[in-house]
Amino acid sequence: MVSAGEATVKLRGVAKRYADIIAVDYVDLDVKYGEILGLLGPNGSGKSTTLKMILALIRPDSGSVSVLGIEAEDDPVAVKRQVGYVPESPRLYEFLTGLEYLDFVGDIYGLDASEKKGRIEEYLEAMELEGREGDMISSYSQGMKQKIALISAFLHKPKLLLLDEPLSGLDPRSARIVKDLLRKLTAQGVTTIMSTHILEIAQAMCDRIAIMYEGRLLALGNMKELRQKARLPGSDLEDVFLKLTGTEDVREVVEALLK
Amino acid sequence: MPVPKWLVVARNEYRIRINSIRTIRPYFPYLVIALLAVYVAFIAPAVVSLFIDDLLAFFLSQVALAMVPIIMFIIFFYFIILPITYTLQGMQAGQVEIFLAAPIKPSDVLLGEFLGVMPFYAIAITVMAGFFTAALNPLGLDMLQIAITVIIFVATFLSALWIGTVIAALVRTKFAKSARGRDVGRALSLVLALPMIAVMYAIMGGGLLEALADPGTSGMVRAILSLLPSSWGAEVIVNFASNPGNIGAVGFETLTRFGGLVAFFVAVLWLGTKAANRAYSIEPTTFTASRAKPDGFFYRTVRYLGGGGSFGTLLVSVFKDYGRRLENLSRIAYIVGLIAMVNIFFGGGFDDPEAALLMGLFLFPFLAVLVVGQVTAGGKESLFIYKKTPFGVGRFVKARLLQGWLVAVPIGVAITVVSMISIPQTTLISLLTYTGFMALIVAANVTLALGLSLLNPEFSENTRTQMFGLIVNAQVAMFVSLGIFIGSLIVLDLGFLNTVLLQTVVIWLLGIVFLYLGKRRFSRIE
Ligand SMILES: Nc1ncnc2c1ncn2[C@@H]1O[C@H](COP(=O)(O)OP(=O)(O)OP(=O)(O)O)[C@@H](O)[C@H]1O
Ligand SMILES: [Mg+2]
Repeated sequence: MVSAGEATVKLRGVAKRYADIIAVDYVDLDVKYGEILGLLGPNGSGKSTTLKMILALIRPDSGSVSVLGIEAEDDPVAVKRQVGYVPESPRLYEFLTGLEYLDFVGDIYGLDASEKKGRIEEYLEAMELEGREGDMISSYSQGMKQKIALISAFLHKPKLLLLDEPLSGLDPRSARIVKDLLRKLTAQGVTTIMSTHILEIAQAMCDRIAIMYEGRLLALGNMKELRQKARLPGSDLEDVFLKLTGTEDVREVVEALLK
Repeated sequence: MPVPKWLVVARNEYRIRINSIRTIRPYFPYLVIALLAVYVAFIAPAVVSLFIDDLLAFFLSQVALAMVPIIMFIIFFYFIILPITYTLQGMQAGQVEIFLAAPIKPSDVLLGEFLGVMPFYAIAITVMAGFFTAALNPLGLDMLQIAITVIIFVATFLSALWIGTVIAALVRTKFAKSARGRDVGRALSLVLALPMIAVMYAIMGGGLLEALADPGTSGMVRAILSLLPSSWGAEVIVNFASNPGNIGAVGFETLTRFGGLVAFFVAVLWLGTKAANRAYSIEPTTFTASRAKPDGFFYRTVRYLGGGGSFGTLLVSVFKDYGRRLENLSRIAYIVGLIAMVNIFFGGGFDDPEAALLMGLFLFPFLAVLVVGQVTAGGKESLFIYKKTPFGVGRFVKARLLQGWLVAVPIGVAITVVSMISIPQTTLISLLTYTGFMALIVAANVTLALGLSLLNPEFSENTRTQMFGLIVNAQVAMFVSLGIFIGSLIVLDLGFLNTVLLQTVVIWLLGIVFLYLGKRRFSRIE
């Protein structure tokens, strides 16, 4: 078992390609126990693919993934038991009520009845969904669906959270609730990897940030290390990000467009 | 102890199915069982006896009886290949992510999903069995015998469906990995239908009508058939029929065969799960990146036929969407292949054009449903694209209709011409007349099928759900054709040409009504 100080997730030479597209290009990555790692990168840079490989949802073409000391390749079910996953566009069962859905998720993860009931109530309340749990999911707003997806990732008290743009669709207040919740879980030793496009969130929430570009891991470190790497002391994450991914000229592009 | 995972999945699947009637959900099973019992015991026999006089009824029951092993076998086989061909053609399982992310064995998902929809398959099978027992009614079976007959139907065909489901899952994991494999799978799904056709042919000895009159002729075929589980049940039914109202007469045999069948069903469920665990995986299948080519001659023609302009463009995009989702095309290849094979095998058996057309008359509704497919609209989101534009839904429906006609009518015409031309009695006039009518009937069937699928649009990406919707639509369309046919040819004795005429008119009327209702329903979805 993995404990403090050790890497919760280890990627070694992980690569994945789809036909002629290289989605992930030989990535080595250690995620530390109890940290929140932010995964940043332009669209199509391989963030979601990386998360899916950590979950043992898809198999890398080469390289190895180890999660909490388990080789994903050998025992994907054991990995999945320890992980909570929020996909980038969660598809829920539209024709169940929120409560029925969470109930189902709890059963799938083998929670016992009283524990399940307690946790569902607790999370519904925390996410300010109480009163709506009896409604059909198809009648939920985008953000409400996202909250249900988040709850179903938290429900079985996973040791590792893989969150693919977890705050998308959430209003500021709800985003705040989720952020607080994540901090609390981190304090309890839960490790989190989250991808996001909102740089302020990454800057504020993440202990370290990994920047991906065209399937490669461009840079990894905390804010200070990233600034050094980009040779932009004192600047914010946006400048660092744009410089590292070589898209500094976006400003020019935007200006040209506005002309 | 925690609930087994497959049970969790099954319960969930079941809940989703009956979501629209959630207020009566707790009583649903009792209600359905009661209704089905009333249907089998009273309604179906009453309906059948309404239409058919005593002599004909007795004749029918004899025929039905003699055909039992054959009917059972054909349906058994059909139910095995149905999920296989369907999966092979579709090739992607629209798995909900939750199963992919959850620590659950693939076999639990497979078994659970199957068990969850099983009640609904059982209902459909019971409806079918009800017609059958009603046809046997003149022989005087008692209630217990009828009940057992229905259970035999259900157990036999559910086993078949499950066997098919497992094989489909295994084959899918084998083939779905590469584009090449998918092509192989599609070809295979066509070939799979061959044995069924061959057996049908062997049983009927080449002559459809002789076989109907004296189906017990071929001893060897019977012997082969008796090895199959579908025949164990058939034997029980035949025993019942020779000892109507006296269940004790062959009690021991009945009990062993019936018990054997039930044991077979349970064993099949268990073994299927084991097999699935070994090989089946629920990895998401990767799609191969495909690049669009510029519009060729075909699309330019389609655009021209659509009158150029924006409707032409809409028509082209509907066509493209259809073509890209290859399974639609392979479905058509499938039905054309099936009809061609039927015609090749039975070609010699028909001695007049009318018998040759008969087959088409019953297959066209099927063809139409397969061509139209399910209105999936690629999920609700893309529906809004159509809805956003004024008259959007109307235009969408018009484009789908035109597209269905353009695909189905030529096939129908080709089938009609091919099956008539080989028959010496065909004159040029009769060829033209019937071809014209058949074209009209196909077009009407497409209209009806589109109406049905609009009334019952399918937003889930689960192939099994979609398959179920297709089966339901096909059954409705078939019943309409069959009903008109029996009504006009047998009951009213109107003659073949009039039957065809009536068929044309009635299906057109129904098609228009359903299309109107379907369009209205579709526009109101939000
Ligand atoms: N199933 C698939 N089939 C083919 N190509 C895929 C598939 N999934 C991802 N890709 C490709 O792999 C690359 C990486 O995709 P991925 O989804 O990991 O990007 P991402 O960083 O999550 O992007 P985004 O910020 O838009 O979510 C892209 O070029 C994408 O087109
Ligand atoms: Mg992504």
